[in-house]
Amino acid sequence: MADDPVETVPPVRRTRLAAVRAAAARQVMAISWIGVLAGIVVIGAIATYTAPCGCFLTGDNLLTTAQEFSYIAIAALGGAMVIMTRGIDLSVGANMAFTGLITATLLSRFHLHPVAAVAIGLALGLGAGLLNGLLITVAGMQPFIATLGTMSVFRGLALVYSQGFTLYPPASFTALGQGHLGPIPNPFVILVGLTVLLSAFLSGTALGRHVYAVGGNEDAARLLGIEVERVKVFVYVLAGLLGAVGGILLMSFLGSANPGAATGYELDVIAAAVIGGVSLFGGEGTLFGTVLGAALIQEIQNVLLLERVPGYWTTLVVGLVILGAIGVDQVRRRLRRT
Amino acid sequence: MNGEPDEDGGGRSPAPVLEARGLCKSFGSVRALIDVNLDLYPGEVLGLMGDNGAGKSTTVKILAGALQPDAGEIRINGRPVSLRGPIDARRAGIETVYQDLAVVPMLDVAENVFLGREVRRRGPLGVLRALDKRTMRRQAAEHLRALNVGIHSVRQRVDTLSGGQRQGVAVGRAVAFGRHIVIMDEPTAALGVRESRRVIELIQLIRRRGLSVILISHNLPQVLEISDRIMVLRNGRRVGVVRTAETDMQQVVRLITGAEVLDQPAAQGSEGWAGGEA
Repeated sequence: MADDPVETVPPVRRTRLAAVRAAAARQVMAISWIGVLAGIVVIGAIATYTAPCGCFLTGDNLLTTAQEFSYIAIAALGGAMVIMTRGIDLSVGANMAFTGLITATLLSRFHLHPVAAVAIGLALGLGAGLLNGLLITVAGMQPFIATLGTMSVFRGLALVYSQGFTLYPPASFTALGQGHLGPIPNPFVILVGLTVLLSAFLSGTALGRHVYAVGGNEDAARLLGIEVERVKVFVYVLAGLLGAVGGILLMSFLGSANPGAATGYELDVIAAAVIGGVSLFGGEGTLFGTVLGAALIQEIQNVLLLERVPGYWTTLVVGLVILGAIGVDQVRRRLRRT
Repeated sequence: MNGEPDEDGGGRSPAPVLEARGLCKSFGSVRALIDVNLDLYPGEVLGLMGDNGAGKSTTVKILAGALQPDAGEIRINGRPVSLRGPIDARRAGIETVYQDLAVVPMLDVAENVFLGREVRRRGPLGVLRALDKRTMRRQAAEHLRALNVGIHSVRQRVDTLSGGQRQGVAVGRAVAFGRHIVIMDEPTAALGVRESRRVIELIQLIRRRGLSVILISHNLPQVLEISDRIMVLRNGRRVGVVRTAETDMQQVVRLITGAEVLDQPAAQGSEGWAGGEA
């Protein structure tokens, strides 16, 4: 990495080598998702040999697992960017239920063209994110409090609108969430596409770098002329939009829209981001890591199922994994300071 | 009087690069800055001194665009400017090295140098245009090499750097973009002896490049060593400006503590532009 003569500042030779080596070690430590990837591989290897059905490493099982975590992972892409700015979005699960519900109604009751219905659903999610962003920047509310409020508001709207009933989209609409591109489930294809696109945005554009700058040192960002409020509104809007993508896909896959859908997903989103190396202190993490985090949670659930461990254990194990991930994050920070 | 070198020579050849007249700023009932004038000449180092709460930081923040004065005017090369934000100040050619350095630990050196004014590739995407990382890295490396601050790679994350190296990044940023003025707010406060030495050399290097420096510091020997003139604030007022060559530590201490006052408030209030404004 430091071999390009144009990009290096050549000082004394010997100290340079040592410094480069130390810097390289730190850079590896900085790749926050390596541990998660290792975890996924190790758990997978164990399950491959020990699962009684011998079916962990089969196309069917892996593709189903990929399908199942895609909705949360798509929402987590937005949640991760919010956390990178040192914010939090607790409203994303309610947003998913609400946008899925409205989209289903537009299709079945108002017989809108699917493209129009999805567009309106996405716009609603975007609007929900905009509301969060404005409450936090213009009204100056704490992100936790603001999105705790909108979480109830969105969930409440879904309940009021549906009167608590489950609504059903036309059967034809399930093709979106249940369909495949070749052998790959559609939601997973969309997840991969969004991850690539948004990762390029984060690393390759000024606005993307400013997401890290705002989370890493908000005062510095402001002094250097970055429009901190605008960056924040942008990430909440993106989180709302991505929540709607996940919510509509989930509704399409299930073939039903329930006002209680996606309950607790906001916490899964945070867990995925944290396990994937996104620091709650802001400024740190990658979207790839976040997707791996979501994948690890799903893999654990899948493996416990295959190992015939009673379902009650799942929550406990996931909780321990989250604590472990936070512990690793702490150690990493400490190492970097020294 | 050996003070007032900026007022007595209204017709001298080098016009000030920065003139501030009648700066006032209050925070609630606290008058942080009262009718302060400041002149900065090309290629000089002006030490700005004063006790805590004297108004140094407020002055710096106004000149850096981070605070708006309640009253007063700022001219750069004779032209009035309005600094409504940090971007305005940067556009006007004023760069600031903040006390806490204003670096983002998680971004790399080149990204920090270019933060807020990234080089983008040409394209139709507006804010979504791709960054020209190659150009930014090359330019950042050139600037830092010229400063010789011992940063091995501009791709290193800033949180892997020492305090002195971080200072180098912050100074490198200021020097890379500062066209007229570099303001340094307590640049050595957090540094060891050797690293402080390095910052002083950097200030001298900046001056040799023809930039003017405003140096805010508590370190009197240091200011006496590298400044051309020293301006002292006390309780929000300017109490004197002295040529460093014509003063000594005792006089500066007297000014800081209020035992001596060179600027009379009344005289300061009547002071105007050389050509007359109204």
